[in-house]
Amino acid sequence: MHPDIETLVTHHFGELAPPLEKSVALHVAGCAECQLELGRLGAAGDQTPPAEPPKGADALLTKLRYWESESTETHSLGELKLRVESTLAPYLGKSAAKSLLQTVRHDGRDVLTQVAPLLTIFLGRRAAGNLVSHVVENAIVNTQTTVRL
Amino acid sequence: MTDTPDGSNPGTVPGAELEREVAGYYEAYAVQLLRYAETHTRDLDLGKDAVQEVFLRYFAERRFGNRIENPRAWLYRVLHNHLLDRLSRAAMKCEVSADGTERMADLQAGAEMRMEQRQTAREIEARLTPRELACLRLRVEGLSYQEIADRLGVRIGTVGALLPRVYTKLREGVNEGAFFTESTAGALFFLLGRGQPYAS
Amino acid sequence: MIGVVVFAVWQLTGSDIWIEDFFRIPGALLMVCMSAAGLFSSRRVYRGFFPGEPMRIVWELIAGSALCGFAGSALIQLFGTASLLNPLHYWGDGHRLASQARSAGIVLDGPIRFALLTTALFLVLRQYRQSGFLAGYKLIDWAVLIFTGGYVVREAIDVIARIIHRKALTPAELVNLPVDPLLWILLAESLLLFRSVRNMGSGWISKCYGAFCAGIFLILVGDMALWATSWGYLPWPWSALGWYVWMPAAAAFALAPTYQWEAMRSAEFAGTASPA
Repeated sequence: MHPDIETLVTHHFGELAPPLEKSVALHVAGCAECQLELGRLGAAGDQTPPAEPPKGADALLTKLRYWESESTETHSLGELKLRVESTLAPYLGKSAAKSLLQTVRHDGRDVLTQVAPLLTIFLGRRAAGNLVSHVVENAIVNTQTTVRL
Repeated sequence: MTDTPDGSNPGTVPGAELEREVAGYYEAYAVQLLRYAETHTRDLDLGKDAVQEVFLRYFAERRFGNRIENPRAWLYRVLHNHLLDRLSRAAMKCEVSADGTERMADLQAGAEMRMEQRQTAREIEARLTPRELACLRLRVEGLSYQEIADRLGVRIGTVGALLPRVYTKLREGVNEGAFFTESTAGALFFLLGRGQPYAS
Repeated sequence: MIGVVVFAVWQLTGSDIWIEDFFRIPGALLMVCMSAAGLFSSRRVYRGFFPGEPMRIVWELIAGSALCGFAGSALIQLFGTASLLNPLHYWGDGHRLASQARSAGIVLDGPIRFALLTTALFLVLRQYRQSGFLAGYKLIDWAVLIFTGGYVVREAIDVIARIIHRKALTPAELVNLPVDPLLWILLAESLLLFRSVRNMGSGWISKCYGAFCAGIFLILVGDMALWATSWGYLPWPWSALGWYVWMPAAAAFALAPTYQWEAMRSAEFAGTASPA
């Protein structure tokens, strides 16, 4: 089975634990797709400066603060819980998703703290990581006009 | 296994602390991420957009309480998936790329344009190594990475590393004014016509 | 077409094995294929967890159990029968080898398989308890456990009686002694798991463990039917009803890991336009 992108990146930077490192290295040696991806990661680490460097961190922070102020207005806790629940229901079941979200704070800021550990246990880190990102995209980021940074 | 600038990656993070965290990762990884995006798409604006979107997602995910064990790997993963998603949605909508419109314009160019295209083609040939040139020719012909690797007798990872270098050199040429932007696509067709199979 | 040909051969040769095999072989092949499917899916799920994750050891045990089920099924259904499909049928000492293959299959598909599954479900229940989703037994569950517990105790009494009267147990019988107690423990675990997944609602993970519960329950019913038949409590033709549980049981065990795999795959590609 292909290692996921996160595992490949960790392998590329030499940060994988030894047992996993060995099996990933063995897989990569015979997999064209993974070699292609490692080639891309290698190119990304090239020392030549890019044609146009990304904008500074200050500009990014300004935009993130704007996004956060927008999200505070846009998100009601009830709506947030409903969207998260509908995303998780096919995996955990509707009742389980609902009961997981019962103890979420009034501002919803700990919704992923409640949800992510259980998903990681039952689905594995790889699948749970993607699902949590999808929850964020579906229930949080895409529910307001996208801020063009 | 956390490597945050301030050494912490707790669940629910106060706003100011999270901003410092995001700024730290931006300084550390944005350049590499942009370069990684460029290996997936030649559209620079799409790549920049995608990198910024990824940091927004990081901010949102941390803001709502998720712990991220390996932020660097996480950023690459989300960027990879975001790019694939945008590219496949664009392909499904059959969007016409800027290269396509440029090529159409080049095909209808007059004599003056043809001269510029020849000049640009010579300049490109001078800047690229024989292997890079062979790679570029095959890519312009529409071959996939695997097909290029098979044709040249190299590993697919080599193709994946070569082509971004080619694109970088082409962009540098445009920035320095050595190439005429409008004639680049036409120049590539000249290279196609004159090119001989690369002998490894 | 094959049926017509087999019928013709049966009529020409007068050998009943042709017509018997025609009806037995598809069923045997289906049982083996279903256990192979369960093994394939379990292994994929196991490899989807990283080393060190709590559910990796669970699925390693489930995959081990599925491997024993597949090997046992192949030995029993293919190598342990007097069938034209059995390569040992054409061996010199084939009959004895087939008998040994069948015994080995029964051991693999019995105590070893159930011991691994018992351990796996125990760890699953522990995860449910730690996550706060473990439910309790209802009154009907206690009734079922007491009734089936009585059956296990009755079987144990039969064994003790045989030993007291100096009637030796065969090696196969000795090795298979733990099967019914293991099945009872599995039933106890699966009833608890069933109540827990019902509380969670109908998601893929609930369906996965629900399917395991259904498979275990059906195996226990089939086992009790065999015992009842051997003691005359279930006369012919009612004893034939017991045959019908083995296929759905095998199907349940094949289906269970597929639900988990679907959950993991769907989560991994959630939100993308197409799978990578």
